[in-house]
Amino acid sequence: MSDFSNLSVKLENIPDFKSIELTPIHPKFRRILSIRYSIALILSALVLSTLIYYVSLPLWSYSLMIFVTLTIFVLIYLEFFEGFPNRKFGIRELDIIYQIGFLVKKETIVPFNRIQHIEVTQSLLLRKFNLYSLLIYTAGESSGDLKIAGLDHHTAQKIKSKVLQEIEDE
Amino acid sequence: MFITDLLKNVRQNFIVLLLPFVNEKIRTDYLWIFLLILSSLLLFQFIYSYKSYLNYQFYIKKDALCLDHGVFKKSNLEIPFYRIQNISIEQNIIQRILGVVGLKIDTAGAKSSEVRIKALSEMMANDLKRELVEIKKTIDVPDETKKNTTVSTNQGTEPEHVLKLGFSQLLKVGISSNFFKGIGIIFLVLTSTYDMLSDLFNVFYDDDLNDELYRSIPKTLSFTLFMIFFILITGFIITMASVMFKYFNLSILNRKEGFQVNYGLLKKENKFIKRQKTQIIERETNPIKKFFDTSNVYVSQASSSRVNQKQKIGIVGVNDQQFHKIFQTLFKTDIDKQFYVARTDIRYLIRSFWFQVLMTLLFGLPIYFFIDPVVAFVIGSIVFIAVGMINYLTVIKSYVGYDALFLKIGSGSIHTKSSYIPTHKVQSISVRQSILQRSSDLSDLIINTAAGSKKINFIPYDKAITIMNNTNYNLHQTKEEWM
Repeated sequence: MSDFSNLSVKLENIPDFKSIELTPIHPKFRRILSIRYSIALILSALVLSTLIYYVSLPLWSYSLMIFVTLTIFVLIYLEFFEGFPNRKFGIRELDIIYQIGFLVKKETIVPFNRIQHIEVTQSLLLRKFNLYSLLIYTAGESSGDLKIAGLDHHTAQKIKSKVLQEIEDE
Repeated sequence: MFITDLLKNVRQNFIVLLLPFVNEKIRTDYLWIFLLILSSLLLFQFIYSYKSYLNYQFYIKKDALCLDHGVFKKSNLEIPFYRIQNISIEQNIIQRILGVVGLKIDTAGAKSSEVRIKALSEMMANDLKRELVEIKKTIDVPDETKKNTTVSTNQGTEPEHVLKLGFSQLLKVGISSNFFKGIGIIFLVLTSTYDMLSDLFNVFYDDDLNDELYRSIPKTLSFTLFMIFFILITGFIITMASVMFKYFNLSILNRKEGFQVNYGLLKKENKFIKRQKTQIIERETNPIKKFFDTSNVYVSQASSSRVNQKQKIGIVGVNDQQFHKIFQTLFKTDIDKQFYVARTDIRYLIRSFWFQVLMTLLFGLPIYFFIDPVVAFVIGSIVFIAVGMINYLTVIKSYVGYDALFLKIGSGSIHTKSSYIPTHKVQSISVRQSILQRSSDLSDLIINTAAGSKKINFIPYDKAITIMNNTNYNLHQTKEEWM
């Protein structure tokens, strides 16, 4: 372990990931979120109304159901649309940073030298808007993996090639 | 091989076979048809098992171990030698009766990370293992010579015992182990027998029983106390016995690449802790264990799937000195370090308060309605205080310590657990802050490794960021591989 001479490094000299400017994801992704949101809303409304129409339950249970569903949708609304400006990523020389969330904001750093492989995918909805998702896998169970949704083709490919290059350089 | 397979399959399908018996109507009307189906299924199972036994073959090719198996869908599996990480031999009770052993081959990275050969004669298994290890050695030559420069102490000599658990130590381990698990088992057995008995009684006396019950409430109280006492004692004995059976004759041998761990009375286990593959070391003590100077050590190795408590390699009865030795061998450095510590904030109690209230209601309400309001109040407050104490201890014992080489994570309530993760084995690191935490500037830190992730709740946000920055910095600096 003689490689570690870094004990003497002063705390100020260690780069702070909070100090770099992060890039927001593509603004069109907001539209995708609203489509997903509306679909979920319509589906739940359908399920609830069929339930109310066909199954006879006491009134309070209906009110409770509607109340719970509405609360969940308010929370998702906040998470999706208030939290949209929080969806940002940043690339540094040696690692990638991603932050997401409003109700629970999460910031993650994945160093390039721990990335196992990287994937650029595109779901049906994303294809409509010509956007991509970037999946970054680390070793072990999936909790350490990173998914950055809503990047344009250029950015996704750029990050991918940057990461691949870093992995190969080792 | 064939018989173990058969037994295992029958065991797996057992519950499904029992299902029709649950309904009484089916039981009386369709008994014949059912028996017919059952016997044909058994026959089919028998033929299937025999066929799968015939088709199960393995052989060694030039650079890979090959495995043919399958009845309807035949598959040929090829494991390149360089992918083999671990070879372990184990023996469960059925295998012991039949006088065979199972061989488990761990590979790295791949999705299905292990191959099991379920029944081999012991000699054959040992031969195969030796063969594979031999071949692996020749492949790893460049790697091996590099390692020889660092570890060249015990060559040619008998492997050194790091730990050998005698009976008196095993007894200590048994006494000091957490016996709530045993109590859980008893509760299960008791409640199910109670359900069965009350079902039976209800058929004969429907109303009498209720009257009887009301008249005997004072008796019931002393009976309850007796039962609690009884449950505690039996739980203690069962836990002690099961721990002692499991870890019987535990020994840890020092090998070149790590440790070999052997234990077990009914089910013999033979596991290998590989130095390269080790990601997290956890040490668990409780007050009684401290008194006896023993502790449990859990080693988590890299895995592509979730590492649960069962998959961790557990070693019991480890004293301070032995722990240092294990730690030193696996991580090649000393334990005593000065850590930059971030503790869980006391405000975490607010979150766990709801759990406390829930538990109190869960115990209190049934007693309130069915037995007595006073008893409910007493037991309710006891539960409230006890859960509160446990929550308080959980907060007090939770922290994360940072050092250039290690992250140390403390957890536990009645027991105390410290986990050590070398910084170069960290995969990625996140900080999480909910909207409620934001106002008090607290956050949760999540450390992901190849052997699962660790979460530390409610630490100050700025400290979390510092730890994140520093760990990340070390990750870039280090030349050590995580595996």
